[in-house]
Amino acid sequence: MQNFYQEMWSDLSIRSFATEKLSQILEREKLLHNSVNEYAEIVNEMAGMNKAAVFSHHDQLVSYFFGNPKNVFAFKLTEDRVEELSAWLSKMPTTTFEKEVKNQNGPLFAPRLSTKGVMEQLDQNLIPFSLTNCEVIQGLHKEIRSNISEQIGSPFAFINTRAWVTKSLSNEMGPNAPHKDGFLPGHMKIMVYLTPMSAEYGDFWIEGEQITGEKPGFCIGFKNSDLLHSGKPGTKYPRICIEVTIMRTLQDNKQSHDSHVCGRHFLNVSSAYENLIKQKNCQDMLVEELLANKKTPEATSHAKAGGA
Amino acid sequence: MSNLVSLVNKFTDCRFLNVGSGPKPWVGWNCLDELDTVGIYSMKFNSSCSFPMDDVSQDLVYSSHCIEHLDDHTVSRLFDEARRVLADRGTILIKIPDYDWFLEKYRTKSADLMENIIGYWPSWSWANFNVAESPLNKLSYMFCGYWNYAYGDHFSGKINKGPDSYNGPAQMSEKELRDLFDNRTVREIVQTLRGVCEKDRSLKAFNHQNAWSRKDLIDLLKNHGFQVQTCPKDELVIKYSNLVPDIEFMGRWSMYVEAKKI
Repeated sequence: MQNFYQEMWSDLSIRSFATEKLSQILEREKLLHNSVNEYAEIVNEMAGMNKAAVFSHHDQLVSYFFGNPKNVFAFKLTEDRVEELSAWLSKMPTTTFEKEVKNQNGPLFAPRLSTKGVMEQLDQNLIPFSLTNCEVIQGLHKEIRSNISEQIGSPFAFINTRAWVTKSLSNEMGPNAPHKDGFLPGHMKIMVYLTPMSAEYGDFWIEGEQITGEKPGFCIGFKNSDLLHSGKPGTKYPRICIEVTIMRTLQDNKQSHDSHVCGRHFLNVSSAYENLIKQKNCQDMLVEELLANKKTPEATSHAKAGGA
Repeated sequence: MSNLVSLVNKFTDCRFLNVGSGPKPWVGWNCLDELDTVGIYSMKFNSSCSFPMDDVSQDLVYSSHCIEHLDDHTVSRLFDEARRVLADRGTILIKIPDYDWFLEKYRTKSADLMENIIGYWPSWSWANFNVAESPLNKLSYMFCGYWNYAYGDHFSGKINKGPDSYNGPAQMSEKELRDLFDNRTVREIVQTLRGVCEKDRSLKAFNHQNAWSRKDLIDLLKNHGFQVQTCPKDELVIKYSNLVPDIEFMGRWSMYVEAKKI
C-alpha cells in the first residue's frame, strides 16, 4: 500500500485533483464563515454541523490520498529532550483554566465550559503552564514529527501544545475520568509524559488498557475523539505531561501561533494552510503552490510512508 | 535527570531535607549543598548559615558523610538549623565514617586496615611530598586531610595534577602517627591532625576536618535538643531503605545516629 500512495501522490494530475478539492473545501469554509471569532457563533455553527462537515470533508480528502492513520502508537523521546523540556517548564509560569478561558483570541477553538464549577474543578486538580511559542516547542515538534510520520501516514499540522501538572491524588474528573475529546474530524493527540508512568507518578488508560511502567519521555499518540481514554493521577508525586494536538493535512505545517490552555483545534481548516495562503496572499495561489511540481521532502516521505 | 527531578520537586511538598547532598537531587527531597547545580539549593555552610526552609516544615533531616568536612562551629549551626526546620518529633539521621570502627581495626592490628574503603585515594599527589601510601596515612586521611592551592578543588573536579599538587593527610612521621592513634581519643586525634595541617601555609581547603566517636556524636546531638534513638545499624538501614535513596552507600564503614527533635 505504501507504493500505492507514493505513486499516486507523485502523479501531477492526482495532486492537481487533490488541490482542486482542497480549494473547494476552503472556499466553502470561506463562504460559511470567513473569520469566526464570536464564541456563540461558533457553537451555533458547530451545532448545525456545517463546520464539522468542512473538517470531515477535509479529513476524507487527506485519507483518500494518504490512507488512514494508526489508531494508537507509542514512542520515546531522548533523555536529552526530556531534560530540555523539564528545564524549560521549570521556568514557565503557571496559570489557571478559569483565567485562560477568557482569552478567546487566536486561531484556536477554546470553548468556555458552561457546566457550573468545571473550571474550578479543573484548577483544583490540574496546574496548567502558560506557554508561548518558542524554540523548545519547535524542537519537540521536530522530534515528534520524525517519530510519528509513518504512523500518521499523511502530512500534518501542529495545532496546539499544552502542558500541565496533575496533582497527586487528584479527583477523577475532566481529563482524569474516561472520556473522548469530541474534536472535529482529522485530529489526533500525542501525550508526552515527562514523569515516569507508574502508580506513584500517575499513568494513562486507554480503551481498557493501563499504560504504565514506562520511563520519562514516553509518548503515546491516539485518535483522541474515537478512543476512550483517561489520565490517572499519581498516588505520591505530580504527573507532568505535554499534550500536542495535530491535524492531518495535505501539507506539513508548523505551529506558528501561541498555544491556548483551553484550545482544542483550529476554528477553520484554512488555518492549517495559513502560511501558504499568507505567503501567496491569495487562496487561489495555494493551488498553484501545491501544483508547482515541487516534490517537497515532506510530501515525498509521507507518500512513501503511506498509512493504510 | 536533574532537571526533571527539579521540576517534579517544584510541584511536590518536599518534607525531607538532605544536608550536603552532593550534585544529584532526589525526588521529594530538599537538597542542600555548597555545589551550584540544578535542583540543589546552593548555600555556603558556615557558622551563621540558614537553611532556606520554613520553621517546622520538614519531617526528616538526613546528612550523609557531610559534617566531617566541617568545623565545630558550622556543625553546631547545622544542628540548630535542623532543629528549627524539623517538625515536632521530627527525625535527624546522621551518617559519618565510623571512627570507633576504624580505631578499633587499627588498634587490633587488623590486616585489612583501610582496604576496600573508597575506590580512589589521591595518593599520586602524596608522592610529591614523600608521603607514603600506607594504611596508617590512609587512616590519618580518613580523620583529617587537606589539599593545597596547587591541587585545585577536589569537589568541583577542577584538579591540577602538577608536581606541587597535594591532597592528602597531615604530613607526619610514622612514629608521630602511631603515638597519636595508639593513645588518643577520636576527638583528640582529629584536633591534633587538624593543627598539623593548618601549619602548612599552602593549605587551601580541608577534606575531612572533624571526627566523632559514637558517644561524642550522641552528646553533640543531645546538646542541640535531640533525643537519640537506640536502633542497631542493620535495623536502621532496613527502616530507611525505602525512604533514603543512598542509605546503604558506604554503609560498611559508616556510623548512623538517629535522633528525634524534643
